[in-house]
Amino acid sequence: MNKRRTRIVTGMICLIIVVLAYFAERFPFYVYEEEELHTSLRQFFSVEHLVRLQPFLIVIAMAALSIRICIWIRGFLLPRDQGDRKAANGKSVKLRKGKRPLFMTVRWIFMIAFSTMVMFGGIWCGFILAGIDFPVLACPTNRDQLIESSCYFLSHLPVLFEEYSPTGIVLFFVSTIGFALLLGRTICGFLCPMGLIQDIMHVIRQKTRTEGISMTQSLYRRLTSIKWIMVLLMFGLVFAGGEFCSFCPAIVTSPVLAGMKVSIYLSGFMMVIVLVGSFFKRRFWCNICPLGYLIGLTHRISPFRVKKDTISCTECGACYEACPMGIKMIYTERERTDVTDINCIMCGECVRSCPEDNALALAFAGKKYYTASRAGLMSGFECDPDPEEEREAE
Amino acid sequence: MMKENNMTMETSPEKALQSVKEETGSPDQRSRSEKEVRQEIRFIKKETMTCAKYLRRMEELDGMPGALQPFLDTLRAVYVELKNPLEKYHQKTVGTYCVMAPQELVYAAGAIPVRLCSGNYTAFSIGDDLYPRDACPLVKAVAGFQKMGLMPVYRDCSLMAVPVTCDCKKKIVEMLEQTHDVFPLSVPAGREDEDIDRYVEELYRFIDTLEALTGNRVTWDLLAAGMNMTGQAKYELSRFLKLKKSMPYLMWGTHILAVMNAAAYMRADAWSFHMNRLNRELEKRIEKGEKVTSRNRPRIMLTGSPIIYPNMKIPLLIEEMGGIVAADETCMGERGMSDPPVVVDESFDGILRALANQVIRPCSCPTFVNNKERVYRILQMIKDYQIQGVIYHVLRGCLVYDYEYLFIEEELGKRGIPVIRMESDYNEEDVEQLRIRTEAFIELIRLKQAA
Amino acid sequence: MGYYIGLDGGSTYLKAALVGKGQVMDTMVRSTGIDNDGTAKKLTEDLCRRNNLAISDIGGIMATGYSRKVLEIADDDISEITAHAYGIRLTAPKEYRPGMIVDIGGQDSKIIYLDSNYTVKNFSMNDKCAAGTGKFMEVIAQILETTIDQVGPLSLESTSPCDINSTCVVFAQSEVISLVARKYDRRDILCGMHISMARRIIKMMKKSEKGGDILMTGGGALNIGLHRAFEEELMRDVYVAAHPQFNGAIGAALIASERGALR
Repeated sequence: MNKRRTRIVTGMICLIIVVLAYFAERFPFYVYEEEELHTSLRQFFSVEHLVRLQPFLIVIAMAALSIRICIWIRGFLLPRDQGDRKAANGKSVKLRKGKRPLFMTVRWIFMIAFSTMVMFGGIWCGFILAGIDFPVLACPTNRDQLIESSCYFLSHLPVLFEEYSPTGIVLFFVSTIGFALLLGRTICGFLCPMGLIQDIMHVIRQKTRTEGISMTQSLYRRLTSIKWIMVLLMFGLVFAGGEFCSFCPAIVTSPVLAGMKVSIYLSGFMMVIVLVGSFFKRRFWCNICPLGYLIGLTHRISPFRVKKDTISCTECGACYEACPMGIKMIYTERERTDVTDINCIMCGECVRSCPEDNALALAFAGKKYYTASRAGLMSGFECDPDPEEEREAE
Repeated sequence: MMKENNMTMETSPEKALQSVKEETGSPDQRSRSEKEVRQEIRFIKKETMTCAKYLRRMEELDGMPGALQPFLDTLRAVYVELKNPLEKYHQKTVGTYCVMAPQELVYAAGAIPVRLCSGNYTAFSIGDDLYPRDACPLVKAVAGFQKMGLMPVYRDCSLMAVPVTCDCKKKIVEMLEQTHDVFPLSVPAGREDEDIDRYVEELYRFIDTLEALTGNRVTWDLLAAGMNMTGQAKYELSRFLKLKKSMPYLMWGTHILAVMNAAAYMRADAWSFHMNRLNRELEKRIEKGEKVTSRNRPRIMLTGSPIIYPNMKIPLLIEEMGGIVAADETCMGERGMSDPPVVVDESFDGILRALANQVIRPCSCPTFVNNKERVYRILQMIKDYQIQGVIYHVLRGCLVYDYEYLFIEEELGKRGIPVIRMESDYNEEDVEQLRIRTEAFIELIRLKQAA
Repeated sequence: MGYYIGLDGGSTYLKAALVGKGQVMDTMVRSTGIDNDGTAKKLTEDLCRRNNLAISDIGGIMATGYSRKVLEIADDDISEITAHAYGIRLTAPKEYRPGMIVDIGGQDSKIIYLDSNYTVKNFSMNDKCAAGTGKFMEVIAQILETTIDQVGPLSLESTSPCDINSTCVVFAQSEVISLVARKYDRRDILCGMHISMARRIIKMMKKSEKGGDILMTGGGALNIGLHRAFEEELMRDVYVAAHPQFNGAIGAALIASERGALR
């Protein structure tokens, strides 16, 4: 009975998404009378730029408000209210954890660097590298100058076929698929600005110690069906006369942050949902992102792999708990040593949380570059007992 | 034999008498008839004697690290001197009956957990009359202590937390309710996501119960402090296991089991403090290349039903017959504490989920439906500790472990690792039969080694 | 020199075997009694006398079995498992490919798994229980007013074996008594008993050990009925060692001879 109900609910949500996406332009969020799709470095340091960030700031404010409301409502719905559990009594305690591994630091540097590049790289490099198509990054920064994202053309296939010569079309697909083959969803874990924003939301939740949503496989399955709808929308909306960019939340990130005057329709509301969702559930958008799914299809051949030692694994499920994509197979698998899943974004959280030496590892072309270790996980406890404790124990 | 008697005569009976007198003297105790007191004295005499004997046998093994003494002293305090070693902390104690009751929560609530699974022969003989014949001896021993009401660690508990795992643990709840407040902690039989969710809810109930007991509100900071406390112990244990992996003859397996057993009656910080000392001493030993034995003894792994002090006859036999217990996969031994909780979400709920996850998923207790992961754990340990043979210990009536023997035997058999099943009970009558098996098993490994 | 004696101190009988020149020269058995060591000494002397040997001619004495530690006359001792594995080198029929030995002794039964070089891979033993052992057979024979030697041949005449399910000697005994009272033919009861014994021992066999043939040793192997029951239950050939009762003793003597002069 319960199962049937969730199915109905999922179906309803999918239907609503389709309807909303089709009429996306009827929901103005922040509309400029005159769109201006040019940016320049000079403008970047001006007050005008801050003004142009307005839609983004509104999204953030709305998200913050929504999160507060959600927590407030949950307080009523949940019988066990944890509001007062957060209070410190007396001295504040730090939960001892493993030190941040080098891999994670590198990942954050990559994420920040690439998000900056995706937003402003066009402006900085554009003057030198004009004419180079740089696909597979979230959105166009400058439509008529140089960067033409595969995302835009994938969702506007007729435009691609109209505007380009056959060689151009072939080149487009070759470069897009080439990138996807080489990097796979490492793009999601390392390069995507949407990923960075979602990870920041997660960090904020960690710092405020707010309870999240505990995900189960049945919930993930619901998300998968929503993801399929998204894929369908991305390719199909243009044929049905819709405009996917008015629906896609990513439009609020790179173009707006780069200081373009882009009118935002339903996307703005979508972005609020993404921010709220990724606050309570890490990398919420990644689970339904149509582009991420398409890139993930190449995971069977991408050189980035997740390796597992099937014997040393104790099936403790720590990797599964840590996994923002809810990949369960990673801890239940006992046959194959390669546990790269189509949904894996190569964020390395599973390896970080794995308590068994060498049980999990990330590898590039067969060479392991990040391996799990108990010592690393428990490095926070590395200290000699302090003398006071020593006396007490005596 | 004479020596044995003399030794125990010196220590136990007079103390036993004294302790019983103290009790009868105190006003809040029920008054007893003279015959009852006589029976109690007899019980204590026998109990302290066997426990002291096993302690002595452990102390007599060569090459005992000096840092081991505090652990043995704890066991002595509990079972021979009949003291409560946790009394000095002036905190309430919560008796737990399995590693599946998270100790972190008890510490967070400001109480001290004590693991009360028992291996006592004397208590067993009393519990034997109370419980069905095929009930497991562990539960019978607990029932024995409960009936006599003489053990301070049992008596002083303010709450008993009983994880509902196997059939016998289920039935223990009603029995304990006669004298104590009991919290039955339902443990799911599966390991799916929904099971974890259910167990988290159960942990919230457990926290509520603990809060009512101690009067403290369990906040995030207190929970984190509890996590840090047991985390430190788990860290020291992982350090110890790493040392042991690097050198198989570092310590007698019997001693290691004693250390792990002592953890049941020590506060986690005290245990990790002494463990730290032990680790430092062992590190020095490794530097010097000291081993407990110079011979190439067959390295044996002990798995199956828990080995609980004073029921140490099997590890003692193995080491007496020329083998060494190089690793154990039992819940009173290394397994019970070796898996650390991995906190990936730092909210209160997230920490509880991490705890639930750690209790349910990696646990290779056979009460879970589908426990195939245990074989892999054993295989990994065989690799890590260079094990040559596996002794599968089955307590009489411990059905769940007995069930799994067939599967494990088949899997290990395929890989050419000899396994033998040893059934034992909480008494010393089967020692000779066990000896024949142990001896033949060790001889078999030796011949294999030579070939 | 060149002669070696193996002593097998079992729970009911003390067995001795004389091995020389790579073959079994003589065997002798005596009931154990209370004085293990004394019996062993007398048995050794008798065995030597019968073969016109002086004690000094014996290269070494190896003890095995339950009471091996108390037999002072022996130079060394070895566990029964190893002894049985050695013994079959002399006693197994030629066509036997080493795989499994089923030893049915007086008070226990064990299964020993060998690899193709006769080295022991693993073993299993029955627990604290006499069901499926020689003792069990003796008790039943007594109830049915027959002797242990007759149990086998009698059971072969059975046409419809009874079911005996109890896994415990004491219960099986009462089960047999009730069968007798219900006027069942004792040949059918005996046949049923053999089947139930065989099943109990087969249950002990490890699933992972499959290679090679099965060989029966120990006093129980003398029982043709049990042998037949084993073959029927396992649906394959089961071999019987040449001197099943003395297999342990022969093995011990063989080990002594391999180790050379012990004294």
